Amino acid sequence: MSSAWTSSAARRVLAVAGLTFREARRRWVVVAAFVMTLGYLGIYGTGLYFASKDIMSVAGGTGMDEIALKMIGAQMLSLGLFPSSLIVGLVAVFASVASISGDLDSGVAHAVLTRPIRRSELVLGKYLGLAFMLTVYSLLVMGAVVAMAVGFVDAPTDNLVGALALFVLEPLVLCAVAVLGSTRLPTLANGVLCTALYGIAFIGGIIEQIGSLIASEVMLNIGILTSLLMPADAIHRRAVAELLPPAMLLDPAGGGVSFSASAVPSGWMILYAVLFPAMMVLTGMWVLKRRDL
Amino acid sequence: MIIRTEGLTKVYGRGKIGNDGVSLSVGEGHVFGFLGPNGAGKSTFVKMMVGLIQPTSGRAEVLGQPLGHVAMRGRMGFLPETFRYQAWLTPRELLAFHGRLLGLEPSAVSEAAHRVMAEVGLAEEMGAKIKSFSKGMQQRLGLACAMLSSPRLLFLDEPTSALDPLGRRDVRELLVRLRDRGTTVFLNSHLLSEVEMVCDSVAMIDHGRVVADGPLAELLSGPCEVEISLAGPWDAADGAPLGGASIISQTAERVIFGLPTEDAIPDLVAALVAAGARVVGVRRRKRDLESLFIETVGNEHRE
Ligand SMILES: Nc1ncnc2c1ncn2[C@@H]1O[C@H](COP(=O)(O)OP(=O)(O)O)[C@@H](O)[C@H]1O
Ligand SMILES: [Mg+2]
Repeated sequence: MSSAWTSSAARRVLAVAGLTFREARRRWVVVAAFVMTLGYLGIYGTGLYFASKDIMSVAGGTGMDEIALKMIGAQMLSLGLFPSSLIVGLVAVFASVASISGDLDSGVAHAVLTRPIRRSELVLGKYLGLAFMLTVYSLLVMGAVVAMAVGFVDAPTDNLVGALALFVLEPLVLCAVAVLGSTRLPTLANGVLCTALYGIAFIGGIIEQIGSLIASEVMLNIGILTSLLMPADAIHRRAVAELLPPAMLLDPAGGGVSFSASAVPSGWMILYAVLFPAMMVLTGMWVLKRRDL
Repeated sequence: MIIRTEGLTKVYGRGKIGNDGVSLSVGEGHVFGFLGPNGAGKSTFVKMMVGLIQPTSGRAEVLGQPLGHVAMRGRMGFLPETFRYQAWLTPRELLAFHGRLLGLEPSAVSEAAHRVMAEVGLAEEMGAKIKSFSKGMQQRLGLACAMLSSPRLLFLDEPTSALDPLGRRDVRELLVRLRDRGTTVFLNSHLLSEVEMVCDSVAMIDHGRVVADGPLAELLSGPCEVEISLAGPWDAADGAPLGGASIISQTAERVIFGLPTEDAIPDLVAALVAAGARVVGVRRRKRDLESLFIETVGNEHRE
């Protein structure tokens, strides 16, 4: 393979990625999600604002100590993280489920793929375009949640950069699975499958957490297995743990580890999750290359 | 030969046959017509040529390369039968995107885009949204997009399906211009008169098999029919030697003869006159693509 061909391959991938990004911004699911996200952030922010006023008045009266206040802040932040990453995850799925299948159904892909472009370049370009949009979007949403919690209720943050990186990784994982599915499945079936996988990962995460609480080996393994199948929820739990280490979430009343922070996925699981999108996209390239269009 | 296939076969899922042992050769610079009724396998063949589907068996070479050669597609253009383009783009944006896929410089793309849009009569629509286009305009845009790279070989799958008679004439003229510039055009069509007007060579396909192929002039030569009008009755039993001619039908004043070649017409007329027939009119019935098509493909009713 000559280097000229490689560099023009990069140009083709970027051309597809750019068009995919522009198209994604126009999709109604993305626009609707954007509006919903704004609404959600508005409600969360308003809640935090009034909570902060109440906390101030209570704290002022009772002389609540600094640590207790931090813990309340941490709890408020942790409350906001799950719904927002759920929204981001669903946007990732629905923005990506039709990425290849939609173009194949409409016939747009036939004009594109008879150009001197490899099918793998199309898959990669589609993924990169969507990944770029989802990176910006998830950074904005998760960043806004953290910023509001810090600003209103003085929530503590530990490894902020690491946590944000993981919050970005989560939609990238979901997007990669949806792109893979769209190389083979009809859009609707792919949407159902990806949402179901996301749900299974979430349930697997709960099973793993309960397993860790009651020290059940079987339940832990079920959780790990579902995380291998779809690491989105594992990434989320690790991200929360990075942002708010379990110690910060200790109930101020004493004892009891907060539910969501137990069973923190291992570094190996995170490494797996980082490699996961690449595996999915490579598989998608392989699938599309072999099929009749 | 710019296209050469040998025994190209495509079997779809559940044993459905798309192409069955298609062996074709297309010479450079020709407008090649690929004819057949709906479902005959025309689109299947073209999709294999442009690399959208994989043949089940057989061999093929396009532009001197095996099927699926990626860089070769830069010298090839394709108008799909179900043409659709990103409706939210303008032609300028669409052609710029395709130009980037072709590896053209932006200035070259813009120049080529104006040229091909003018060629299909859409020069004014460069900045309009594609979704506002009529079906016919979208088909013209598809033609422009297929011609963007000034391809050596252009595959057009039913390029006039959405056009009115004037639009069809425009496309015929376009094909002739392309041929004059040396472009080879592979034209899928079920419109016989269209093919007859522009094609140098044709192949006919039915049920996935090629049933006739060759230069148009050759296919249309061969057996012909002559209608001879007579003043007064004439009886074939009079014993005039008719050469190779056979009587296809006969009324009191009109006989239709079948002849092996057109060259036999003067001898037939001479023989009739010599036998005392009072010939008042001789009309050669031209063999056209339609009669050839009906002969070879048959008259059976299909979809
Ligand atoms: N994707 C497909 N799967 C199964 N059968 C197909 C497919 N595409 C075409 N066929 C069948 O192959 C035959 C040839 O189709 P096609 O090449 O589209 O014909 P044409 O273009 O001449 O109308 C038809 O019988 C058609 O039903
Ligand atoms: Mg067809």
